Amino acid sequence: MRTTVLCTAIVLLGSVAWAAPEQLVPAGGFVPTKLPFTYILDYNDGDYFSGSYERHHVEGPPGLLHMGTVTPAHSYFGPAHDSAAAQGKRAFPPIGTFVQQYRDRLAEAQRLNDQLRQQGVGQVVAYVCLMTTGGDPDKRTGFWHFYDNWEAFTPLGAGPKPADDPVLWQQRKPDGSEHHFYTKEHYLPMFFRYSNCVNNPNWQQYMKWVIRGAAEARFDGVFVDNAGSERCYCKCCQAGFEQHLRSRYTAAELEELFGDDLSLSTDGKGLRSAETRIFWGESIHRFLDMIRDEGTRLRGHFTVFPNGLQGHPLDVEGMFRDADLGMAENSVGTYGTNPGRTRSHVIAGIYVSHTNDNIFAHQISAACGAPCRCAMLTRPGYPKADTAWRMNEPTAELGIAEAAAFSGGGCFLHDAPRSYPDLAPARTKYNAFFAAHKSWYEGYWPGGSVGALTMLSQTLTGDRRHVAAAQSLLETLLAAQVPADPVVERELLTDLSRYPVLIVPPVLNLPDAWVKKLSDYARAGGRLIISQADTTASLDHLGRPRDPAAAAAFRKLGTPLPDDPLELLGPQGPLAGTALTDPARAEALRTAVYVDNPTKPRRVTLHLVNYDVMLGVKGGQIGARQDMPIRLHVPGNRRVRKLTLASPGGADQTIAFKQAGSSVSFTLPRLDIYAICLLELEG
Amino acid sequence: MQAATLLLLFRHLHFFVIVSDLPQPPRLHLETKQYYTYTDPLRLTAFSQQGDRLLSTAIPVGSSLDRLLPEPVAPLYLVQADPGMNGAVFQCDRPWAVLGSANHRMGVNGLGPELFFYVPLDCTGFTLGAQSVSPNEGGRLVITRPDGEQAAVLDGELDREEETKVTVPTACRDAIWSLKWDKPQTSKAGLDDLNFWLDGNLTPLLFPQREWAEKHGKLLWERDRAARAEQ
Repeated sequence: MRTTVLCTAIVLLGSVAWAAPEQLVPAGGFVPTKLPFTYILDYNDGDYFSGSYERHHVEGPPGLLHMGTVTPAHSYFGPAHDSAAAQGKRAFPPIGTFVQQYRDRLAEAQRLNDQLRQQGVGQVVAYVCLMTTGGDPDKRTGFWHFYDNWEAFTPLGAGPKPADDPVLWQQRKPDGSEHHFYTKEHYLPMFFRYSNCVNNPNWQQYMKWVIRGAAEARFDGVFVDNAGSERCYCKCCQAGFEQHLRSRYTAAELEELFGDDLSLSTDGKGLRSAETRIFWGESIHRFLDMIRDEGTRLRGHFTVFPNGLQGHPLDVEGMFRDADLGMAENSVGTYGTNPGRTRSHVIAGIYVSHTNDNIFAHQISAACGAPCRCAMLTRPGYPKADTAWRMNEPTAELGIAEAAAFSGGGCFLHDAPRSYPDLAPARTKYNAFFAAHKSWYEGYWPGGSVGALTMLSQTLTGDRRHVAAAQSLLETLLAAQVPADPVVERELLTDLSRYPVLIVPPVLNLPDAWVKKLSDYARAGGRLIISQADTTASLDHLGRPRDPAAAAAFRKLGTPLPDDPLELLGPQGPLAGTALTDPARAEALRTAVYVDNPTKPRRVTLHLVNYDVMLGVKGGQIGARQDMPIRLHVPGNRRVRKLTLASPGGADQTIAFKQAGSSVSFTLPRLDIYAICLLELEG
Repeated sequence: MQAATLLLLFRHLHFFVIVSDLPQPPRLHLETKQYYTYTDPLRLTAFSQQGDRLLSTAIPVGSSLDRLLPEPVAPLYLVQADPGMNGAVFQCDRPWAVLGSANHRMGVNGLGPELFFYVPLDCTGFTLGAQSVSPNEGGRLVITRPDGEQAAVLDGELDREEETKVTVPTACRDAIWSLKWDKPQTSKAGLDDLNFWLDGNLTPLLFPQREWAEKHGKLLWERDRAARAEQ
């Protein structure tokens, strides 16, 4: 067994010394909103090749079908895995049997994918894992059985057999021992679970072959599970990290900020820890790029869909930024996590309502303007499903509507039709609606009345309060019927003048570039509301103290942000009169506003989502609203030429309106679950 | 604000009932307290007695909230306060009680005020339950009858849910009882996070002042009993 590890595959900017980055995550071109779509996840490995699997997707075919481990070469175990043989219950079949299985699986997957598309399924993606292999290196089972017989698959595109045993591809702890995600014993009694390093060229070689097989099988892309699972200190990563730092900082900055220690951080503290996490994230980003490039060679576009957004919104503008989708697994909630409401008696005849929503995760993907959008998974309870909170059709519809309104091109997971055949009508309805209203969805920018600075990278530098404060601020404003959007780091280079008001919640690390951008915004007439906490903007993004006078001067540019954001909406508050409608009459309404151009909008869309949809098997009741007065701020004092209302399942209708200055008033005749208003502006 | 010597510091979601007989709406004051590195804000929602949502806001941990509930004035309000993994202290300029039922358990941190509750005429007994899940943490809960006698004690590490039955003598019915807690006496464990609840034929609304319980406890019990009968 060789111990040499090749590390040449880490492609960085060499050792060119640049000035320190303006912020810790990249800014970038803003990708406006995309068309949302319906989505099914169906892990049903035993049925895919039954010859009749496609019958499940005749009614309500999804825009995206997400299947399980269906690539010709199994993502985890390789193409030569036999479960019974791995457990010693029988001898391994001859290797030729596995080679034929690979060919058969490829042919059947091609037939199945062609058939699914004929039925109206949009894209089909297969499951792979960022880092997992399973097997026993001593008994030579699982992935090792494939490795020992690698050459048999070389004619199928596997390439030359790597010299290093797969044990050497694994992620390492700082002491050099193996790093296992989950546990090493996860697959017992069959064999062990291993976690490969994405920077290992041999693992990359294997994954490229898996991806080529997926593309050849006519999958449109892959779902990449466990896509944040890189915590490696192997030699590849140690060398790569030093290159990473040298590509981002000058020699003088390295000396100032890191001393003479350019090794991966093990203490989770300070800028070196932040850069360590960024390095691992960028390693994953390159790995996902590699997957996309490999698939694209055969398929044109190849969708890359990593899992790992839940609790990690930064990844939308970080390591997943160039993926097509990122999954957020929102699993844990008192009433499950499916969107909708419950109403329950608490005490003394007083009832309370509880609303589940996933607005913030969706909003982040629209606000980032990265290609990546949010795919939301919800559950009726976790780890054990509570059948009482099983998804009903109206909540399935609400989930699609929520994604359409807030994610700028994301989607909402429906479970397999085999278990949930009742959800198909919701998909049918929304498939038709999206297809008929493409121009209402594609090419827009978030354009609420308020932007709330949401510096997602604060989680890297240790200020975890900031994002929580921004999220709760946004929740409060939306509940008060003020359309409000997060404004994230990636917008550093974009024009924020579309927001009449920007709010800066408490934020510890604020890059100089953002201090300047926000100061320029205020000087140009924008209204800033800033947390006056002494710590706000007291450090730059590299953790260096800012001159206290400069930080104080920045804070003075804004109206003080009160602890209770509702004070902003009081009669004398800076947001007085910005509510779209009376929150007391629309407590379950949430809205999003978009503009087709950040500086000179011609079209404005207002998405209205009614969360008054009762959850669970006894639920499904919709608290429709009628004759709701709406007042919307139109950017740029432009005159509205026409206002059209559309809702799924209904005919589009022109709505009468009044305009006074930048304020447009009209009455929404009826809102069931979802509606969009399109305002076409003059000029 | 009431002049309680000890304030009620709670974690996770709690419900508070406010009784108001003044022409102005009640004023709430909540202070947040951060635990460890948790970032959860304090989410607060106020409901009318009809269950209509009156206000909904969230404040960052480390800050405080001080505001009037919105007009119109109502005789009864329900406030849902959820600091998540962090803590909060609830105060109000009107009589109030916190709900400590088996379904909505009290989750306090450290010492707090003695709490008072109404035991109805037809209540022959109820259950006191408690749990303190963390290692080396525990508690001592004492229920005191209107005649000053100790009716029940739960004392120890309380790593698992523990419950004790409380018998209600005839002479102690239709009267105000009390509950207080401290560090355990039968264990070296300290007092930190402690959950407890009351269950049985009573309304487990716990008032931080005896006179509030005397004035409003019975009325709320009657209202609660009527609502349950309708369900």
